Amino acid sequence: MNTVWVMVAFLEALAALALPPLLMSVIAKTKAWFGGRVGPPWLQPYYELAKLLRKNAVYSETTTWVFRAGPIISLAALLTAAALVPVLSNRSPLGFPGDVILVAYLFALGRMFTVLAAMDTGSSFEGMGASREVTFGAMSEPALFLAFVVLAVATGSLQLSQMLGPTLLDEWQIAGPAMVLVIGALLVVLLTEACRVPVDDPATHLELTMIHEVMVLDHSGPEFAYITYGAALKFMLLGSVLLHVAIPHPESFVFLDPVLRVVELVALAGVVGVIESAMARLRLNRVPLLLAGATVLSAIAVVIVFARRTL
Amino acid sequence: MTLVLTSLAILVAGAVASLALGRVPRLALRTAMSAILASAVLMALASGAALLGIESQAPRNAEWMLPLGAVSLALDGLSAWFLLAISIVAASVAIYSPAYLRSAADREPVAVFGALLCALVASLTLLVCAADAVLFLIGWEAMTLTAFLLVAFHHESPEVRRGAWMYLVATHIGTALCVVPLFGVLCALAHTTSFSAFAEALGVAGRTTPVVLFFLGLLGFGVKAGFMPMHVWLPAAHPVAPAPISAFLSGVVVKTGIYALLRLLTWLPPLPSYCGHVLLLVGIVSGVMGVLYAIAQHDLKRLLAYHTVENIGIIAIGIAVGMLGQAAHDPTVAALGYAGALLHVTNHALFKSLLFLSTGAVLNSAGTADLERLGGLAKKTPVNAAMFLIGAVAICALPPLNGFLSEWVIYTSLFGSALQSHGLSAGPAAMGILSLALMGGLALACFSKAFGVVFLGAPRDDSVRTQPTPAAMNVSMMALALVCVFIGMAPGLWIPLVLSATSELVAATAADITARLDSVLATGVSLSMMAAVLAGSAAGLVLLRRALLVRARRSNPIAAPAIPTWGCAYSNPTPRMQYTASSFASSLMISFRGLLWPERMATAPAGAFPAVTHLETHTSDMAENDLFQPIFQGIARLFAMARTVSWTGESGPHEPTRPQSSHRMGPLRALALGIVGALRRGTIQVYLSFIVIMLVILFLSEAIFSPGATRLMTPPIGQESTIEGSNR
Amino acid sequence: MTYHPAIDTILVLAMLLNLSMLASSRLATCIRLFAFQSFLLALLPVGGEIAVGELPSLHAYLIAAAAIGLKVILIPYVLMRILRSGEIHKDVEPFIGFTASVMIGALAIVASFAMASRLVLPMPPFSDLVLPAALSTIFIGLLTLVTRVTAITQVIGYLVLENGIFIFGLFLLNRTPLLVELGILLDVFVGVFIMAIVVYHIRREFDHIDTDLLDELKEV
Repeated sequence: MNTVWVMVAFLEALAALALPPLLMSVIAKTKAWFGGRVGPPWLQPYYELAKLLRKNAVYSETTTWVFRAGPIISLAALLTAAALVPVLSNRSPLGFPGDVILVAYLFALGRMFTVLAAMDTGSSFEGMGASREVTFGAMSEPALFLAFVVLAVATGSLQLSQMLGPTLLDEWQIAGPAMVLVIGALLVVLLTEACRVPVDDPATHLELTMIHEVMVLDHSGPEFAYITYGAALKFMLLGSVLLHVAIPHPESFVFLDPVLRVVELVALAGVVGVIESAMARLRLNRVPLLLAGATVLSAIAVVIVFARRTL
Repeated sequence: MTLVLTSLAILVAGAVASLALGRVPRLALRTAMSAILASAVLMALASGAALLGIESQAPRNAEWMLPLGAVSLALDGLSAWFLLAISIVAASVAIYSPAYLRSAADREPVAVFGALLCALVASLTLLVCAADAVLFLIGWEAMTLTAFLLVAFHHESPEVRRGAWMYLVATHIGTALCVVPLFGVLCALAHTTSFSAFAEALGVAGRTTPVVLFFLGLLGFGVKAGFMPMHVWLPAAHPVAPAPISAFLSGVVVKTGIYALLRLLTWLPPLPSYCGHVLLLVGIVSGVMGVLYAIAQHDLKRLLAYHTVENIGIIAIGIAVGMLGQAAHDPTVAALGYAGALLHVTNHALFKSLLFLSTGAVLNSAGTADLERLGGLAKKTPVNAAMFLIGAVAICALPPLNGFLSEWVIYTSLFGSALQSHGLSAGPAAMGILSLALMGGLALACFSKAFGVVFLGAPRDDSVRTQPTPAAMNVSMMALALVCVFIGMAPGLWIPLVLSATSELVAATAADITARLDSVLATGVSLSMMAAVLAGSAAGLVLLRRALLVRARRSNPIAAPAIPTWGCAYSNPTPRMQYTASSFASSLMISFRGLLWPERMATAPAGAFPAVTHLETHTSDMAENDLFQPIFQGIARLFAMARTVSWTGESGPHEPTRPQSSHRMGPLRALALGIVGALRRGTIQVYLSFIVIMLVILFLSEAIFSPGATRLMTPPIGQESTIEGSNR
Repeated sequence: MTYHPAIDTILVLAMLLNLSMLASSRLATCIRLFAFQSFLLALLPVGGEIAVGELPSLHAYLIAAAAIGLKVILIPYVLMRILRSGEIHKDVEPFIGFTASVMIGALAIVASFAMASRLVLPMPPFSDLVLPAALSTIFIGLLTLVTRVTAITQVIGYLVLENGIFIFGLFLLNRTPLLVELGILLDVFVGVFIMAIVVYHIRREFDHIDTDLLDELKEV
């Protein structure tokens, strides 16, 4: 029995690690449909990764080892976080009580090294992107942690796999509005951290208006593949957190779970694609208002959950 | 205890020898530093033995009696924990200082520097080991004075004198107005100056006295610790002191305020929860405003000084959770909070002294700490860059370094407090989590700026000449960095050391604390494992990248040329076009302008070919300019009026105030002027706001004074049965 | 007292609409948000009685109908007409920034929860969110009144304030005579009507409706 479970967990992990580029493809396809185009092939992100991995890397003469370390440490941090976030089931391979804080700070570690690699190029545009990234990152952090407070109070646990577990079904009964608010806040955090519209537009062509894309302008070859894959992985991890809150699966789902989760992730990517097609990027000076709004949403959720709690 | 006494003797001998060898300054300095190093090793051994419970913790009393009080030294868990921090910082500073002062040795009295540093370490040791009020105050004063003299080491410059005086005046106001009265009351209650009698005396002292004493301690020790708004001396004194002294100030001297506050808490009975809430608020304000001011700075040392205020805020949050846990009779939360605060004390001592020493190395190699002029140092001083990066990652509380461990424990305590509190009384804990998260994000922004601007990119100013960093400096920084990495990677070996100090604070045995923190101790292993996963995946990615690049080069042997950074189609970018520190910080400054009130002086470019344009931003400290400066100017005016005989000539160490602060419109002043102006004009909004304020006051008084309980918020019993499956 | 999801949703949405009114920079959006909030709240008298397990009374239906007629249709229509008719500024002009107002509004909501948990009421409401929603709507209405410059936003603030009182009144739904409720609604209507006329004439005479500039009239 034990070996079976290890096998299942291993397969789940493999599937989860293979999934992120597909989600990017879903977003691109959705946007293409909205624009009346066919869009790139479904497997295009995989082709691009394979192409980048075969290429040689070019380095600016301004850069140092920090520039080379940036993509590696960012992706390593995200992979470590992937070992803690339940993606395709309610289990996480290496979870422990309090891992939720580690996950948030691993994202921050990745962000710091992406930013430093951008600053290492000495380009004013990349510095601009770095500055925006840390600003919006800092403002999205409170919303994320207050959402964690709601989940911790709802489930009585600090372990991510339990905080996102079937106990949430009861919380939907007791404090449904709070859960909806948390979903709203998490969606904003997801769009900010994954650099999607309305915070950042990955498809824009003007460096002045970019955030994430401008930071990675100088990367090439395998390192750029790391970055592209890392961005997709981050989207999937945060999306999974959102989905586990939005659609808690009861225990009895065990074997159906992974399939359903994949479908849900694809649907979420579709929703993000719809958002990108339906609305424009916000003016940069309106983004703090959006992030403050997300914080307010989770704060109200916290208050409701506290007020409704029985002891 | 014998070890501590021996190290004190070595320090005194070192100081005397250093002064005696004043003719040969380099030798004198080396002697003093060797003495500090030797005593640091002994102190580390002593504290290690005490923390592991090997040595008995009974106080050692000397025969020699002071006029008041007695010479009584004790090394309990709390003292030993702070002694450990002192010894580590002292050792690294001792290795670092001779190289740092090498060029100064011919011009400046480095022998005196060595002797004073010995005296500072000795007084710090005395302070944390004192078990008697009078001895404690002697240590406190000796530390203040030696630190003052060391800060004023480069006393030729007026800025240095100003910073040193601010430190001395601020800390003495705190001592005179709060610390001395505090110990006066304690001694009067206990009829003795011995620490051991205080707790018992306070146990029967009623309910108000402990609260009053706590607030006296919060104010008096808070000045030393640098709680906002009493922090004003930190950003004045830290940048002007020699780098090793800044490291000492930030790493250890500031922490004595925390030590004294914690020592006071060991005597006080559990305080009502509002005391904890006040401290939590102080911590939140210090933390958030400290890091915001840090981001606004243009000078690396001032940036680090403000960051100390932030970290002191984090420590205060931990202590506050400890107090709240005690008030709620929840020893687990209390132990977690105190343990987190104590862990952060040593961790901050480690990485902040690392950062200050690294900044000293920047000053040593580039001659300036001005963020607008530096750049590209990672190529010239690669080791120093790596050391600063380790310090920066640690101070941002990022895994897998030590800063994460302590913040993780504090987060856990806050979550624990939120989960254990009834209804809306969990609000303060949620506020703590919110602000800690915000601080984490802002600290990341701050240190991305600091590291990125100083070490990365290209040099911004051609006039800055860089030299390599001496090996001794690198060695001392590496030692600190190694400890940071070790604690971060193997927290399971480090957390047990803090347990005996925590047990002093929650009045429980170390075994009890171990049982209560079982889950945290078990998590130490998990954290190590995750650090290993992180390191392993990074290593795997490095190997993969190398293999891929080797294969790519084999298929296409033409080497990729080293080319300039892609300037987004601009063909001739220069280093002066890089994003600067100010521009990097500007988006945060704009978002938080309501809290910071940055000033901006600019001449807009005019015409098609603008000749000269100018932009200057300056963020001055609200507490300094809007709170203390008016108070002190008022006092000065009062004295000027009272003075009947005017004494012409130089009136002491008086420095002119900076010109820009006189006409600066701070937020408090602007608010007052706005209210007065609105009243005079009588807009509708003002009349309405009076009604609103009245309404709010009525509501608040109804909410506070009404006997109503949380009756309405608790669902009826029947609800319970439907949600039985959940963990609540 | 049970947790009825529909009632919860309406009350939380009402609180969020308050905040979005503070955040929106367009007057037209503010008016629409107000109309939506009023519509949601108008559902409450009926919904509340269903939530406590009673058959909705005629009383509740009447209140709902009156609220929809006045606050969802008539008043927004009048305000929109004023907005469309003239060359007045269509932007909200705040004394304090949007982000700051939203933050203050959020604080007001948190404070309302804290206050609501301490107030003693004659009888328990049909949902524990009623009191916080009422208090926060009142506070945010007042906030809009105090911090916004143009006369039309002040009308909106006044209306939001009234919505708060409306929620508060739901507590006493079965105790208050219908006449009093309708009287309040009529008062609001007359108030807004007069304000609308005044605003219209201010604009005619002075080309703007910025109350901050109106004080110049007084000293002459």
